[in-house]
Amino acid sequence: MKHHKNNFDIIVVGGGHAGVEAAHISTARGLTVALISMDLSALARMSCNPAIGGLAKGQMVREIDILGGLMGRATDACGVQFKLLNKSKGEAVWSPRAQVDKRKYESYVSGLVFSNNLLSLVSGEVVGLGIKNNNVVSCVLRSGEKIFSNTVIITSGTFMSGVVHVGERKVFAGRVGEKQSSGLTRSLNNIGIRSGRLKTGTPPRLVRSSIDWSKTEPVFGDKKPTPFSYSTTKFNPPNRPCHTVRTNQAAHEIISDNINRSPMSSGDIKGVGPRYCPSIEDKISRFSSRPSHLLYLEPEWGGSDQIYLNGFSTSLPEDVQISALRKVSGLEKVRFFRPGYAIEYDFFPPSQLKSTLESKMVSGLYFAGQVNGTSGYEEAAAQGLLAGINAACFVNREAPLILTRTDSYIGVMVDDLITKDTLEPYRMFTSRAEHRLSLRYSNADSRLLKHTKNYMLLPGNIVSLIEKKLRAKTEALALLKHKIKPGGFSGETGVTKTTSGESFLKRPDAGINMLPKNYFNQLDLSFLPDWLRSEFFIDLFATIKYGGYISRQLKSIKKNQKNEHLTLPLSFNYKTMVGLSGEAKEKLSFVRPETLGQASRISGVTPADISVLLVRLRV
Amino acid sequence: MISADTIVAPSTPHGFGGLAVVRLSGNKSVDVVKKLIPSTVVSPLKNRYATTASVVAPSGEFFDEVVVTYFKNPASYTGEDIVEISCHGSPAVVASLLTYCVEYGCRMAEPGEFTRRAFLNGKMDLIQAESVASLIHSRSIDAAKLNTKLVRGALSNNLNLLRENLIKALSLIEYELDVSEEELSFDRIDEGRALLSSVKTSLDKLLFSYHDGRVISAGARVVITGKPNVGKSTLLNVLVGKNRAITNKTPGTTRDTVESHSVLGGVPVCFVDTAGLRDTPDPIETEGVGRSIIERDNADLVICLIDGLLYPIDNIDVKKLTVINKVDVLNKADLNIFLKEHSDVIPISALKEKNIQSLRGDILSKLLNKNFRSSDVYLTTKRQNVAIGTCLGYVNQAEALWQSSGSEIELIAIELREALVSLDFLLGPTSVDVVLDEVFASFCVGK
Repeated sequence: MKHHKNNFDIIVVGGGHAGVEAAHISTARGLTVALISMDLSALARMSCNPAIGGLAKGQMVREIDILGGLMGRATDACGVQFKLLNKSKGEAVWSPRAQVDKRKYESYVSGLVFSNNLLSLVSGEVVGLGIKNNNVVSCVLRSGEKIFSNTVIITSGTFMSGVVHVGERKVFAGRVGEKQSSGLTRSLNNIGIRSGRLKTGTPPRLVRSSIDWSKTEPVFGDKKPTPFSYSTTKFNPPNRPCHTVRTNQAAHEIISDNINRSPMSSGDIKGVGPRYCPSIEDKISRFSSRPSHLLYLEPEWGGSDQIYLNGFSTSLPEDVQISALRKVSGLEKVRFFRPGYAIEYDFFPPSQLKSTLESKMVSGLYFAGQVNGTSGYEEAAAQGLLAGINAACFVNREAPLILTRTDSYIGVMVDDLITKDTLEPYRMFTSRAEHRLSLRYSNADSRLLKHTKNYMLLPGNIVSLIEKKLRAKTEALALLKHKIKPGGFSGETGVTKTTSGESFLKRPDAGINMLPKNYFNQLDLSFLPDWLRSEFFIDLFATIKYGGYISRQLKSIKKNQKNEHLTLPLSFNYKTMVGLSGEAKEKLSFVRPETLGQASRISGVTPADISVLLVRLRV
Repeated sequence: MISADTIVAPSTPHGFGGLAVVRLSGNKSVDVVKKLIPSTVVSPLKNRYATTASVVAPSGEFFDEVVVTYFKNPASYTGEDIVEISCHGSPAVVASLLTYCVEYGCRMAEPGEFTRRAFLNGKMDLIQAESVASLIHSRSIDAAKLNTKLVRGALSNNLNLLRENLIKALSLIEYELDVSEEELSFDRIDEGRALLSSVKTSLDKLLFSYHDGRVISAGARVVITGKPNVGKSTLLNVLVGKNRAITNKTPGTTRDTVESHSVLGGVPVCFVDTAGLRDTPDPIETEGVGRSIIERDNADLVICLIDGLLYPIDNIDVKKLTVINKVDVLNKADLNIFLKEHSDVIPISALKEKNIQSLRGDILSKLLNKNFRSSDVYLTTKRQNVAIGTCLGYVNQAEALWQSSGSEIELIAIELREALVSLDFLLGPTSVDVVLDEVFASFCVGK
C-alpha cells in the first residue's frame, strides 16, 4: 500500500506494552504503521511493579523473544537484578524474573520506536472507528481528524472510561496523572462489540529517605543471572537488592478499623478485581489468622528516590495507608510520593475474538492487552506481538499465526481468553498449562522457531544460532545413548551396572554433572554464549527427565488432536440444534467458537454437547 | 433449556389398570394439550396443579375424562415443559391418546429419552441418570432403596467430596509451583499428603463396595450344578418357593436351563437350574450340559449339589458352595464323620425342606462381602468401577512420587490431574479454573 500522510497499512491505538510490540513487529515485516497515543512521552511505561518475568510469565517473555518481540531484549538491557525462580522444584517450572529500572526500560523501548522509519507517531485520542461492510477503515480522533487503514489494533489499556479511587476520592483518569479516554467504548458498543468492567490496584510509592533501611532485610538476585533474550551475548547485569519488611497486628488493626472507608466495601467500585493480586485490606479480612504479611521495597529506577511497596495494593484513603504503614518496623517515618489506588476500567470480553485476536465481528480489527481483560506487562506484550504478526498477515493476505495450548503459554492464554468467561483480570499461571512439562523457559526456541522462520520475525544470525543449538541438542541426545561403566561416573552414584547416560539421568537424584567428564567431548558448543551453554544442559536434562511423562502427554494430545482442529462454522445456529443442552446453546451462540477444541473448553459445554456437534459436522 | 422436539410416551406399563399416565415433554407440550383438551385454551393449565378435564378426539367427540398436571420449565423432571395426563388404564385408551398427541405435533420418545433430556438440561449427573434406569428395573426393595439413593445423588455427593479433596491436594501443589516462591511463603505441602491418603481410603472403600453394589442393584445369578438326579430341580423349587422346574426320578429330566427369580435378604437372586453333568448320546441333553457349563462359568455363585458321601470335594472356591442333598436317607453316623472332615459342606434335604433356611443364609453371605446396609454408598456399574479403579491407580502413583522425593511436585501434579480426569466420566469435567479457585480461596496469593 502507498504511504500517504493519513493512510497506513496498520494503525495501533495505544503505546503500552501491547501497542509497542504490535507496532514494532508490524514494521519489522516492512509495513507502515501509525501509533496513536494520548501521551507519546509515556510509551512502554511500566505503570505498576518494577519487575518483568516471574512464574509462568518468564516463560512467556522467552516466547515473546523468539517470536521477535522487544520485551526480552529490553529487560536484559535494563534489568538490575535477575533471579531464576522455583529452582528448588523441577526444571519445567523454573522461571526467570528481573527487577527492572523502569525509566531506563521506557526510554530504551521508546528509543527503538522513535528511530523506526516505518513508524509514525500520532498524538491524540481515538474516539471512534470508521466501519464499512464489517471492515474497519479508519480511526477518528477527538480533534475530528481521521486516519485511514484497513487494519487497526486496539491496545488502549486501562484508559477506557478509567476511574481512579483513593478512599472516598474518585478521579476520572487512565493512570494517576494521565487522562482517561471515554469515547471509544461507546463507539465500539455501537457496532455491537460488548464491554465489561474490571478493577485493579496499585500500592503506594514511598520516599526512599523516609525509610529506616537498617530494619529491612535485603534480597539479592542470582550470582549467575539468566537473561531473557536469545540475542543477548555478553551478560553482566547489576545485582541490586530489594528489601522486605513485615506488617504486624497494629497495622492490621488500623486497616480493619477503617475498612468501611474503602470504596470496595462501600460498593463504590463495581468492577471485579483480581484474586491473585488482592488489596492489603482484602488480605487482612480474608486471612485474618495470618499475623503478618511480607512487603517488598522495590526501587523503581536507578538512583531512584521512589520506592514501590509491593504487597500493599490498596484503595483505602491516604491517611489510613500512612498510619497503618507507620506501625511497620522500618517504616515508622514513612512518607509517600503518592498513595496506592484502585482503578476501574472498561474491557471487551475476549470471547468476541478469534484465536488470531481479530474481532469475530469486524474484519481487520484486532484487540490486545488489558482491553482484553488481562493483567501484566508480559500478557499484554505477548498479545500485542501476536496481534501485530496477524495484522501484518491480514495486510499481506498470508495465513495467520495460530499458537496452541501445546506449543506455548501464549497459546494457552489466547485459548483461555477466547473460550472462558473473564470474571477477573487474567494472569498467566503455570497451572493453566496442562502441558507445562513441555512448555519450559529453556525450550521456547525449539517450540516456536518454525513460526519465527515462517514469518521472518528475527534476523538471520539469531535464527541460525538457534538452529545450530537445536542441532547440537539432537547430537547430545544421540551421545546420551552411549554406555557408561559403573566406575566411569563423576562422583558417587551407586550405579552398579553399565548403563547409558540417558537411563542414568532418569534416576531420581541423578544430575548431568555426574556424567563422565569427557562424555560430551564430541559436542561443539563454542558458538553459544556462556549463559546459553549452561542452559543447553539444563534443557537437555529436562528433556530426558520428563521424557516418559511428555510422551504420555503427547499420546493424549494426538488422541484429542483429531477433533481439536475441526472447524465449526461461525454461522452455526446453535439455538435450534437438537440435543444440545440449554446452557450449551446459550454459551455456544455467545462465543461462536472457531474449532471443536475451543467449544469443548467453554464452561457449561459438556462432552455430550460435543458429541452432538461432532455428529452435526459429520452430516 | 428447550429441545426442539416435544416428545410423548406412556409412563406406566402396558396393560389394564385403574389409571395410565401419558407424559409429554418439550416446548410444545402445552400447545398439544390445548388441542387435546380444548378447555385448557379458555382456562390455561396452572403450573404444578392437577386439573380434571375432558379429552376430545380429533373427530370432535368426547374421548375420556382425565387429570392433567402441568410442570413448567425449568422446575420439571426434564427441565422442559412437562404435562402428565392420567387417563383410564386401558391399552386402547393409551394408544389413542398417543396417536392424537403425535397428530398434534409430538414425537414418540425413544427409550430413556426423558432421563436423557434431564441429564442434558443439567437436572442430574450421569450417575443419577444411570440409576434411574436401575431403579425402574429394581427387583427388590433394597435394590430400589439403593438406586433411589443414587438417584438422589448419594454416590455423586461422595465422589464430589472425594474430588474436592483431590482438588485441595492439587491446589497445595499448584500454590507451591505458581505462587509460593514469589512470596517467600510457608510450606503447607504436607497437608496435601494427608488429604491424598484420605482420598485413597475412600477410593479403596468404594472399589470394595462394587461387588456388593452390583449384586444388590443388578441381582445375582446362582447356578445349581451337579450330577444327574442329585435333586437340583427340587432344590430350585424349594428355594424360590414355587413349583417351577419339573422334577422326576428319571436322571436327565432337566435338559435346558431353568431360571426363577427370588429375593434373598434384600438381594434379587436369579436361581438357575441346569442339566445334570454327564456324557450322554442324546444330542439335546448334550447341548443342555454345554449350557450348564456356560451358566456355571458366568455365575456369581455356584451351588455344587451332591447326594452321597463318595464325591471328591474340590478346594474351597469363593464362588462355590458345596451342598449335600438327601441327608434324610443317609446313614447319620457316616454323615457326621463326613461333615467333620468337610466343614464347609452344607447338609440339606430339599425334598423334606430341611436346613433350607440356613442354606439361604449361606448363599447370601457368599454373595455379599459384608452385611448390606442401605445407608452405605455403593458402586453399582462396571463404568463406575473402572473409573474409580483408574483414579486410584493415579493416586497411588502420586503417593509413590510423594514418598520418593520432595522436589518433583510438578510430576505429582500430573498424576493428580489424571486422577481428576478419570472422575470426569462420572461427574463431568473438572476445569483447571476450579483448581485455581481453590488456590485463591485457601491462600493469600499475590504480593
